[in-house]
Amino acid sequence: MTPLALSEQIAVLDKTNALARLEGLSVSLDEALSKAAELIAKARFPAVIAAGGLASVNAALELAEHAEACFLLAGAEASIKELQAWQDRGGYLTSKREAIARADIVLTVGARAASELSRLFSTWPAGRKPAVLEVSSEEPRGLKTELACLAALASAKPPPSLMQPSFERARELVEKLKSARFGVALWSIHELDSLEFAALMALVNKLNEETRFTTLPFHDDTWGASQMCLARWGIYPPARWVRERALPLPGGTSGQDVMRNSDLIVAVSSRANVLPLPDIGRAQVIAITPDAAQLRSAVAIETGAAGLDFNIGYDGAADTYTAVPVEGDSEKPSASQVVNALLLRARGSR
Amino acid sequence: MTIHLRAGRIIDPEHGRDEIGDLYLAGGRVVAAPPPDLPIRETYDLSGRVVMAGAIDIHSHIAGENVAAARALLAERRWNGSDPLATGALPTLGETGILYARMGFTTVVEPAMPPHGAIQTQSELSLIPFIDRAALAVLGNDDFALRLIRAGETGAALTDYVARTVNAAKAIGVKVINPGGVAAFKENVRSFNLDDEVPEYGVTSRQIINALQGAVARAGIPHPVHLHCNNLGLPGNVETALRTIEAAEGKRLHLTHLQFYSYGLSKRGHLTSGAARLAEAVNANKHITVDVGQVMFGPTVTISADVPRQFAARKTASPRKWIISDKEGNGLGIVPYDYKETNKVSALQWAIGLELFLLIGDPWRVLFTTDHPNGAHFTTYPKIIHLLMDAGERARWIEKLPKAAFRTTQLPDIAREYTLTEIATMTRAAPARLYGLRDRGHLGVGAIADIAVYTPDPDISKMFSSAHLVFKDGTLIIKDGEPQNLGYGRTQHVSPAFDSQIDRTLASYYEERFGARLDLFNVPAHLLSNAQVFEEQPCSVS
Repeated sequence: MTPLALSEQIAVLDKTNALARLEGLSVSLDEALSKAAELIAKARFPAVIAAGGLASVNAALELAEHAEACFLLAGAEASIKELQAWQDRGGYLTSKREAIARADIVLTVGARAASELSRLFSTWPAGRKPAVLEVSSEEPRGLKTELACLAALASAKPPPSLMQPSFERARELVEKLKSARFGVALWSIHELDSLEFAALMALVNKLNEETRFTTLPFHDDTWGASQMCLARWGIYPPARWVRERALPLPGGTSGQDVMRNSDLIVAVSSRANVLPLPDIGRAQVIAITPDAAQLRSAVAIETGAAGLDFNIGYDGAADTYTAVPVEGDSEKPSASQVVNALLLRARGSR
Repeated sequence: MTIHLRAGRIIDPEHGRDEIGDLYLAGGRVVAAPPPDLPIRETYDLSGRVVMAGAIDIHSHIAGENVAAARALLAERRWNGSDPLATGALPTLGETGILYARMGFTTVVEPAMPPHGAIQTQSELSLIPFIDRAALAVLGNDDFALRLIRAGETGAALTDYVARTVNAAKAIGVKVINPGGVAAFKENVRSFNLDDEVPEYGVTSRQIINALQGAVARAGIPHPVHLHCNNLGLPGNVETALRTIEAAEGKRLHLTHLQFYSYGLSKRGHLTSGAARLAEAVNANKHITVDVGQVMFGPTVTISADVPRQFAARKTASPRKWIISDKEGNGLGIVPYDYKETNKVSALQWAIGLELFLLIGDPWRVLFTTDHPNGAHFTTYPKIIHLLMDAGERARWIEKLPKAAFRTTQLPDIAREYTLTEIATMTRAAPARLYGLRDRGHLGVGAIADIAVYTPDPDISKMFSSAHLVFKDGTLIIKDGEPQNLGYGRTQHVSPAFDSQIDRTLASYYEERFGARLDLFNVPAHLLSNAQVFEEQPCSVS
């Protein structure tokens, strides 16, 4: 059995020129890690915020588990909202590759889907562009009602009230949708609320009684990290922290609410300029990022790429997970290496 | 340093052993005697205890996008009480490793890895602690394979494609799920049998199975095609399973979760047990291996890449929500379900699984699964072992289940009780042979030191629920049910040879069909968070 490989990672770390600071003053990496571990041990309401590919996120997740901290994914609000949508109702989906290979009709649901279509499918193979239909929130009845209307028209016996002239466009649209051989409805969680999502899935379910229809949600590039949280914790952040701490958070459970209520924030990223730390109130910050020195922090460790560590990111353009080499100063350690070293130190200090 | 396991009852079917004896572990292996330079560091007195090789689960859905979708769909099960697993919640990666290790399992195979999603599956597998892992790559509804079969290129071209896919995904074998049926469903075909043709391709399920059997054998992949047949779960589908056995034409074939294909149909259209007929066919056809897919009672979730089957099943979802996804090749379908003790259909399914175990005579060819989580959670294994070893326990269960469920089964009259050797065969030696894992599943000299020690108990469930000791590569990982020495195993895979010309062919195919680069789907080891995550197993010499 392969022992936990942290010791190998630490050995490499020692050979890098890690730049570390305590309250702005240069210190050795060893001093910075000791101070960081001390802060983690003392924190009452720690939070870990991470960005980047799976290697960094995994390391940050382990640290959050050790510290019993809330875990936040930078830029993951949409992913988490989408996960909640699936949890609420389930539904139909497909992959971008399958949509490119098979779709003969694409229904864009919402203005954002319509505007994103050409960007998402810029690599559409020649001669295979599908017919594009639209339904948007500018509809007279509103998006939710329009989708519900379409679902009713798609059923075997549509209500007589929908046979009025004002519904002619909707009836035409449904006939076209029913003619699909393999239809795909494109939608974005940024635009659809839960009721609109439910109405869309109801429509697609009706269409599947006669033909094949599915949906393609936009993914942002933290989708993989959200799924990894599910795999490691069974639920997605920040729900776990709220459940286990049972703290009433003013204004809800957004990432910013969590950070405002934390006394220690560990910020981890393999990329610069991606972590939002605007109004962090009274929290102390441990920054493990390429731009650590620029963040107001008690402990700052600048990261780069050590040549041994890659991140696995979700490539939205290619609709797959892919290796994303960590670019930057190869003399500095990667974010995941530093976090793993901090984890070892923190475990030892307990 | 050497570890000495003294005076345990060693049960090693591969070497015909059931006797009191000693084992020595050094360098992560079983050795004949303590090496002179590695004196005994520790001796465990195993008097009165049972010693087996670490168990191997050949088919359990534990990682990848299918499992991730199920976690997302049913995340609320994690909120319920102190034991979310009792509500049917899927275990996390950490829980998976600990729970398996606690029962004495040291290798688990994820049976449905989509080749395009291999990097997610392998990422998650690499994070499961304690155990070794492996995964089967899913083929048989993918456009490229169907085109080759349509064109009659079922020789070298298909072999190279299969070998290349297994290599790129770091798989240990090939899984085929409702071959042709899923592709046909994308063309709105809602019923698909063994000799039906897939629209646009004109190939049948039978042709796909035979073509892939040949390709897998020529590639030297030790594990035969791992087949999920057409018509899963449908009343009367025992006929499909019987015809599929015939369709194998004497070549090796593994039929998975056979319980779900053991349904007869009465003249009145009621579900009956077809287990006896199917067991007879398996007994008579030595080239066929099966795993059962035992159902146990309680809430669970069905996870399957048999999209048409899951689409049909969505109306029975409990709770009433599901996910149906069409992807390249096979997709995924997630439908939660609750097998209730009061429901005669669930009770009949439970009985049919046990009938298969008890009527198939050769424990080397009937393997132990619940198709986790489809039939039941893998933590029910100790209870199933108890049912197999104790006819009285079966009778106690039957007593509390609906009587109507047993009108068409032989289960109440079957007296057979599995021995410990048969259990060890079914859960250790046979799985290792089936996957070509020569280094495990036995306790011979040279085997990896994956060892489980149990304390006999009249309550057999208790005996197998929590091992006294479990060693992984000679390191103690479980002591009296508690995890020790956190570490991570390795993902087992094979690397069959192929002509690299297939890379050029596939690269232009991927560009044309998907607008994607072929290399996006490779899984090099250095991408994953643990060093030395992969371990190659040998292919067969053809």
